[in-house]
Amino acid sequence: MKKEMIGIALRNVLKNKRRSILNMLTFAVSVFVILLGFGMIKGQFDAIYTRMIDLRTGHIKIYNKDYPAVKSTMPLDKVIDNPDKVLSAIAATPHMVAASQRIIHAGIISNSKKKMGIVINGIDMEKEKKILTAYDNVEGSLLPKEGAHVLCGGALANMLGFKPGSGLLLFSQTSGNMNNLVDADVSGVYSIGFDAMEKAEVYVPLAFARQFLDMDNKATEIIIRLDNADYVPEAKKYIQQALAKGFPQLAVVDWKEENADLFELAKAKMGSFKAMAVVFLFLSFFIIVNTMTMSVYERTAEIGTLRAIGFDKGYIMQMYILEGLFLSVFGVILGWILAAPLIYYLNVHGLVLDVMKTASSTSLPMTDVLKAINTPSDWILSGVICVISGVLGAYFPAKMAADTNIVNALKRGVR
Amino acid sequence: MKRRILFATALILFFCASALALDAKYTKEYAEDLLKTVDKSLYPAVYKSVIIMTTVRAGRNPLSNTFESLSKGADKSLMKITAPARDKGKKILKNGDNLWMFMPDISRPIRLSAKQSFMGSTFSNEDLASSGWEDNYSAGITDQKGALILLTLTAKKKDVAYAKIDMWLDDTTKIPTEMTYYGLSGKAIKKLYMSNIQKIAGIMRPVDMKMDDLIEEGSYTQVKLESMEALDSLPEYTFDATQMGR
Repeated sequence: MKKEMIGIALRNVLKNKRRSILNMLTFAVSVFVILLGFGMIKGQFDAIYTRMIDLRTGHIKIYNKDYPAVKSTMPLDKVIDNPDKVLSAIAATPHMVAASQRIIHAGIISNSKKKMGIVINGIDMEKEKKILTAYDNVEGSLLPKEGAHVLCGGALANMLGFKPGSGLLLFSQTSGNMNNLVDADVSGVYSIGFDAMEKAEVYVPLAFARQFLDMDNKATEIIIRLDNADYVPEAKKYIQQALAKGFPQLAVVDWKEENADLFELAKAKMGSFKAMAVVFLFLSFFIIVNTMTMSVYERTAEIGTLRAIGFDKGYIMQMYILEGLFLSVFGVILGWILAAPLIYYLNVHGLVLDVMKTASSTSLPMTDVLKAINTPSDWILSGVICVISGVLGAYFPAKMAADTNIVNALKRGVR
Repeated sequence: MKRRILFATALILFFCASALALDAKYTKEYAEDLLKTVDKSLYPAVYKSVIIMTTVRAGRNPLSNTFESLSKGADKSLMKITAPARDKGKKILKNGDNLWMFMPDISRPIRLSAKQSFMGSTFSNEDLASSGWEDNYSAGITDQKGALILLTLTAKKKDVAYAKIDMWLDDTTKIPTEMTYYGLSGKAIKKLYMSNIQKIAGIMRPVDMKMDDLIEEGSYTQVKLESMEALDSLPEYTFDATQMGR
């Protein structure tokens, strides 16, 4: 009986080739869109996280425990008092490539004719080179150990007409809130293809920042780079234990906590994509409901005959649901076959972007190559979703077929 | 070599002569007394005034606001914006070193940071909020040009807005004419000019003020005192942040 039912369902699929192809294609497109969408969004955010680690956050940061809550105001009164001692305490952290102390504070930069609000980063250049990649592409020179020298971004340099060697004014308020203004010069101009950062972030030698902001031997944060992001939990635990006794006032924050807003953004973006995927699935669902309803109308007499010779309602219903199942399974397989070469290419080679041109004006940093990330679960999920949608879509026409009145159906005659 | 020595000697003599040129009465005590009186002498104890403030920045349209101000002493004032229409109803309260802004749309006062610019002007909030110069600065008279003397204020502590303030004032009228504000490095940040001295509310004082931003060439804020009227008293609740919505 079951074999018979499968046979009839398959025959029905093959009988209306044009309609079946249309149904299968809608499922194939849905699978394709789901795979591509999931892969590209995951790939895009993975690239952004990597760039954020490389350009801004490193893998782990250490702050005064009161600092993260007010981080956006860049205060100078919630600081690490003995950064050198902290660095000694964490020197043996597993997988650590480098750690460096920094001072971050808001300021104003001016070419004396125009001023701009900026974030001043006081850094130890030698150590920072091992931690971030922001200093890899610099016109002019990197920062010396000390002195009133500024490494500024290409976008800011364009706006204020700075070149290596240009004079500038740097304004900020000290740890005691006293205004301070100094003459400085541009040591170099960095380019990272990320306008938002190039406009806002300038770097100065740590020793100069301490003097300029009246910070004695203090730091607002310590940034740490590991040889692999996979070791973050292990290294974080080690650092927390190393600091627990001597430095209870400090907090250890990993790159995920540091980029919490980005994770929220990724969630939101994935949410909007899911909404789009639902629209595609609804379209597939709607098309299968429509075409199968038409099929039920066309085959009313046939259904009547089957019912008259003893096939019960359940049998008729299962037959139509099986038809929906076949259509969606074939559609999913077709979608996988069509998507496979592109998904493979995007996962292995990715899209090559000219970051300096295409992505520089976005509010998030991009990589040179944007790769998709698709896991086996994406393939399975896309298939399962489409098959469920196909079966659900077949349910209503199947119910309608099962409820067909035998006498009325037979009156129409078998065509 | 001889020439250099001669030049250096001449320079030293010139500076010594300049120092000696100060009147003998300009002692440290005189300067400290002057600092105490100079701020108080510009305003009645309690008064009402109308001020027009215009800020000019290179490449931008000038920004102008008219304020009606109620003040009591040097450290309490309530400013209400009356023009332009888009800012009408906004109020700014200064009570000691604290500043609040009230916006009718939000209907509760917001605490202002001392570091922020005051209404987009060259003045910072702390320029308006800071009071009690004699507590924060030590004064000395460092130069004299006829009746004008240079009162140099040096910060006594590190948590004040400016490391040094140079104030030129007329010793006869005790009215300042020019003030230069310096940062910790000793570099000048802002310069305030006071002019058009008139008798207003029974007091001789400058009616026009102009604060130059030395970080951005051509940027300045001009303040014009349109009217000033001495009052007998003002109720304390006028300067209560919780009453700003009334």
